[in-house]
Amino acid sequence: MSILLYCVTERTELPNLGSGVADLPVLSVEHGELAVLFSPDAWAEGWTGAPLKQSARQFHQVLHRVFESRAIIPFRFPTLMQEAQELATHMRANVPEYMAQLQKFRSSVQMDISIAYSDSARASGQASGAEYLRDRRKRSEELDRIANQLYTYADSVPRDWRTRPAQHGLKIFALLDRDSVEAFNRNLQRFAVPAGLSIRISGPWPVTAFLELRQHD
Amino acid sequence: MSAPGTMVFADTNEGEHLALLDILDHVLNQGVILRGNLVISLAGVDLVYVGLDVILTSIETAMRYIHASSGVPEKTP
Repeated sequence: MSILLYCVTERTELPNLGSGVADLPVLSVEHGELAVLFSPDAWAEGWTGAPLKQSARQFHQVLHRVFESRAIIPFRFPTLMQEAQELATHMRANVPEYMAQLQKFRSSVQMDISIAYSDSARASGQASGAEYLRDRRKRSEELDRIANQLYTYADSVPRDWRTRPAQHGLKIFALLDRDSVEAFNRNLQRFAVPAGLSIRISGPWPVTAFLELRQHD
Repeated sequence: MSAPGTMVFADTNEGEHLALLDILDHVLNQGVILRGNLVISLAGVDLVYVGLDVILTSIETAMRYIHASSGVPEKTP
């Protein structure tokens, strides 16, 4: 019997978990002060034949129901284990690590900022290799400049930032208090986006880009 | 001439209206990956000792393989 893992959270006062991927029940199992949410019989026929986008949305809905009121550490979809005993072994070795991260980010959420060049701005024609590299460097510098401007506009609302390159631009993650989301969005709304660029701000999400989890076997 | 710049806000509390792109980015690209080797068995077919991060990037291919191997017709969206 395989199990599908959703997330780890503190075990106190869990909300109604409802159903999850493929309408499977979502259950919780306690390990120390933590609860792990999972669905049993995860390879039921209803899921293996379902479109990925449907399963991903159902997975997200489970996370969101719990994350609305508390910090969670989500597993990537699909994280599977052959049986509950494997989960118990993993948790026995890692409860302190999960607990430390949940406590560290108990009142925090993550906002994602995607900066991308629009289609027309991406079209580079038949440039030579040297021109292409020059163009890439110029864009990289421009993206860094915009990121710095966004940090300034966000002011002191975020406590920390992370960035990573994205396919057509840059992805930025902001760590902030759960009750600061409105202030964060309000601050960034004042930023005038340069022509040829699009900025997408989504959240609040569970904190993932700032986790420092060292797993023990 | 470049298109004018745009800024879009997507609130995760909007539920059904949240873009699938945002959801996929998070559930597939973010979150904890468990290390180690696990044996996953689907429809009687063992996927032997595959790291979960490998499975994550090829799940749809794996599904097609499993359905083909088990003779169960794959459902389409």
